[in-house]
Amino acid sequence: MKLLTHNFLSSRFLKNVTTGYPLKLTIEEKNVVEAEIDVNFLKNVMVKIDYAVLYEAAKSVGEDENLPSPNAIVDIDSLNEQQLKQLHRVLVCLDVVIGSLECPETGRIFPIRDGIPNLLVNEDEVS
Amino acid sequence: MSRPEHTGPPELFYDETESSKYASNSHIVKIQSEMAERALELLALPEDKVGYLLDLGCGSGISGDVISAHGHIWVGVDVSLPMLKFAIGDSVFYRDRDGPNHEKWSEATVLKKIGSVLFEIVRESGTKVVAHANQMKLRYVREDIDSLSVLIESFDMDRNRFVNVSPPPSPIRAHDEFDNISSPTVPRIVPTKEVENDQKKNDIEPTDVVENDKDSLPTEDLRQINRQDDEDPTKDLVLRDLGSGMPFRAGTFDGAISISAIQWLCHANASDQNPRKRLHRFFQSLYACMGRGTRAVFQFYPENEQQSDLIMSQAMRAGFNGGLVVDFPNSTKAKKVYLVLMTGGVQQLPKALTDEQEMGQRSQVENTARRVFQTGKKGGKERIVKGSKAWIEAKRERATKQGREVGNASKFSGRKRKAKW
Repeated sequence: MKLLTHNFLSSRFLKNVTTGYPLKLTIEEKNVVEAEIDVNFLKNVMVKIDYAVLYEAAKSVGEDENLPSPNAIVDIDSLNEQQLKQLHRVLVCLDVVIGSLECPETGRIFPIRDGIPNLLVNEDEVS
Repeated sequence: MSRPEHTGPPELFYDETESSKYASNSHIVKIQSEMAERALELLALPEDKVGYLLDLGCGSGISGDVISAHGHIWVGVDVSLPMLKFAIGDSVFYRDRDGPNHEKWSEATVLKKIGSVLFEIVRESGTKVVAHANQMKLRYVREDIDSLSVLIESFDMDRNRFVNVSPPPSPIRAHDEFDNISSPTVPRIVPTKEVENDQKKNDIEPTDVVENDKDSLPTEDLRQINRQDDEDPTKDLVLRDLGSGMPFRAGTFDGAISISAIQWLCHANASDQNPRKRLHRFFQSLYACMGRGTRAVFQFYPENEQQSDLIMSQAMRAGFNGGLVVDFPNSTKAKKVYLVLMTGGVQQLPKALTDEQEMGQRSQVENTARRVFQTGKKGGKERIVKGSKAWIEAKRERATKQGREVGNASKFSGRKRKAKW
């Protein structure tokens, strides 16, 4: 699972959960896949991303170096090459292989195995 | 046509065997890719923009490959873990990866291929431990997946022979098992020197089997099959039942496609499941996570009118606009139903394909030409005209059978004489 996906995941589908965001990410094993940088995509996706959440997630993997500070409003055009590269690396290249996601409100844990988060729930757990 | 959704829940139906069948069947792959192409076309994404798409019920990632090929990034959601493992490239093997004989193989396919060869080797040497040999190999390979890739690299598919082993994939364990189950004359099936010896003993053509000496071998042979280790960075997968809602934030995606998946939601597989409720939950959460002005395209095979009505009404209730686009509505085989859902504002539905020419480009066979109509003739037998050559010959045959004397058969039988004569 990429941090990009983590940034969009929410546990709102659970019963009695109002926002369910952000899911608490614990990483046991990660993998980096090299990929070509696509500034267009970054531009497109940065509009939707919750940057503070991304920054926190990256920090927990120790990849926050070179990332612009979460307090500043992130504008793609103002970033230097190194920052862009790191942003790309964190969003697209980095893959969580083993770990878990935790719902911030109920504490329900969703395991991540083989890079696939398991978000299966029982019928009585959903609203 | 049988419907797999009648047999049980998708996570049980698409187990390892079924997933591997699905992903390696070239016909399925072709049709699914075509439908995914069409769905993407119906999605009408703005050009020159890399979209962030959702693939609902992505399965083994056939439709996702199409999205990737169009340069978009996608997230796949599916309820079957074996299917997702296929999609993520876990235990997917390629034969001749960038060459003309490109083939994608699952672990099961590879085992089957190697298994059948083992079968032959054993048979050639005249022993009877065939089944044991297969089972041994399966177990042995499962224990150590890395040795499988070594094994495949050293296995020459065209000549059905192991060509090189370096390093030998822990043969000791395999030998032990073998000694337990068979007589001492049983050949070592694991690709070690014994295989080579046995083959020579059995007068199989002189081999170029060389151990631990890669340089003397043609490298193309060795590298025909590569385990996929460079993962595709354009996708991400989530294990999730569509019927329990989408786990995404509001306004996440630029579009969503779904190929032959939504009909699964119309069936209850447990007593606590209510298809209507699950569809409602699904569409509602999907509507929320789609960006404004985006589309979701579902290809599905409606079982009957009620089913498509149910799906449509639930989608409309969730706030979507849109409707069905039926391609080739007059053809039994090529007919494809797409549900095109749009967020934000009433827009015109895209046009369905009906053109005959377009039809020719698609890979499916039109059934009409093969149909045989029978009119008015009993049993389909053609009546023979009295006095014709066929009639004379049939009569002669009948008479011969009855033991009567008949004239000789000749090429002149039944011919008209010329008027001059």
